[in-house]
Amino acid sequence: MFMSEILNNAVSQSEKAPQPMVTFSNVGLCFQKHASIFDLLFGKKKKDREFWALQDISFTVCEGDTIGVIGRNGSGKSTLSLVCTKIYRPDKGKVEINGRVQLLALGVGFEKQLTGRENVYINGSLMGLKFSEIRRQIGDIEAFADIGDFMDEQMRTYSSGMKSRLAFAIATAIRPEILILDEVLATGDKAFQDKAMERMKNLQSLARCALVISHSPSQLRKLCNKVIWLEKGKMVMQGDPKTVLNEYKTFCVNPKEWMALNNVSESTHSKLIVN
Amino acid sequence: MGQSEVFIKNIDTYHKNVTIKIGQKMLRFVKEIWENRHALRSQFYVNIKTTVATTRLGLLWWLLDPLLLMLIYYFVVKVIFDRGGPNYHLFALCGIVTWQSFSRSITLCTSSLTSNAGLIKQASVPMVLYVIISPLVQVFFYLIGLAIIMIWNWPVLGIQTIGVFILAFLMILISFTAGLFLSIFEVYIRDTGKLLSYVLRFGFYISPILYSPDRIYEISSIPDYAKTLYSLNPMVHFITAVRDLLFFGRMFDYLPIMITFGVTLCIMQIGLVFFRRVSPYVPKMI
Repeated sequence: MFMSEILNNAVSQSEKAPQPMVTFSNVGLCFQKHASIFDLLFGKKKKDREFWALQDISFTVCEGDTIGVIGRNGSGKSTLSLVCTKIYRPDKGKVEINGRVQLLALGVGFEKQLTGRENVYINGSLMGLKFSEIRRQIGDIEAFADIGDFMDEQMRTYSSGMKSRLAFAIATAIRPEILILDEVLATGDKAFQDKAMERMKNLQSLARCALVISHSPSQLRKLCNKVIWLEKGKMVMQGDPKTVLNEYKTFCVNPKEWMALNNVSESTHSKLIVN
Repeated sequence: MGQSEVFIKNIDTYHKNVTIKIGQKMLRFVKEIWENRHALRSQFYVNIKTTVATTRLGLLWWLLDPLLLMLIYYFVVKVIFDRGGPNYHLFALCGIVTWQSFSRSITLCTSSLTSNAGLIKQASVPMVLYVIISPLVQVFFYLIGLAIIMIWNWPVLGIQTIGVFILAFLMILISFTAGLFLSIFEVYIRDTGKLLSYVLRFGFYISPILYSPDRIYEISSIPDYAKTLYSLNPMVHFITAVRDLLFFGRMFDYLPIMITFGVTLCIMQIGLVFFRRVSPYVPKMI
């Protein structure tokens, strides 16, 4: 009786508020550094062999959100995206994901020796599409990628821009509920970037959510309604794009000075602003 | 009713610890393979196509590869150790072709997770799929090899020749079962692959590839327990069965093959449980 009331409330609440698609609560992820048998026998404590790629990350992505992730190299952006796809299992905290996730990263999963067309089938089937579905969509994919006769050439002859065009075309054709883009929009020419941007906007309007990892603040400003800033595996800031990206820009000019100014020591990055 | 469904959905569905029930694992495995059959098909295609994609002779290599290998061994066996009586080369080829694809299959299985690191980190296809691919691909090439032997030794063919498909299926099971363990070991201890090449080299000599297993059983100076140990090697029965079919042209003994099937299935169960327990931790290690 009591239980059902709570449940009823929960249901009616979830109808009002946008449904959370991805929820991270205090997520931490640690890698084991390589250790030979000599390291194990002599010295090297367990603590020294661990490397925490993510620490204490909490955020929520709701339906319709496009979240940007920014940070310097090695700050844990790609690791974060792999946790979102459930491929990495967090060592601390909890991750909740409701929906079909698709990660799109460059140059992964393509077989260089096969043609672009064959790779569409291979990649599509790995993303969970049936062959009949791919056959139906291949015209669409071809048109969007717009690489002409290269479609029937071996992938090794492709430029990196062409690869990313094709990868983007496939990934967005399958309409995942949660799309994660890892540095994909960065390559490709201006015309393609605009086209990709438009497609991203379309996906947003279909009430699905996306996580965009990028180094380009201007791109994130155009696409996202929220930005997360990572540094050394910790979240420095999350909030509306303008504030976070401006702060990030000033940080990038001189990171050390910025940290001194804001009383953030190298070891204990703390969340500054959470909207 | 609807409420309880909502409730169940809200429970953390992320990497549930599933209780182990024997038999369910096998069913779940079959279900997983069926659900991902399109991915399996495309991976199979990739694996057989990439072996020839950049070559000038293309598909012809599928035939040339076993043929050239056989010619080399034919030369060695016929010219150097021709002692086994008439048609000794065919006798040896049955063993060599079988062993070759078995050892290739195991070797590729072992590296299946580490070599597919890129895919594992991008596509959310069950990892078990990458382990089963190599046995399937190698069996495809194995059947081509056997077909060449069949053509060579065509007078003995008969209705019993269909038995090769049973043996091919058994070979998939054996190497997949070994792969379930070895692929995980390889992820955590990269020395596995290196060690394996020595084990397989040793296996070549303790399996009846260049000789008949009867010769081992007949030597009276070998103690009985050693003979029992020797007969625990599944390859002894496997190669004997292949020879029965393709060299002597008779049906193989059911019993040893049935026992091998049974034992393999049991170990496969344990392997599947082990694999499912450990595989969530694998992506971080590769």
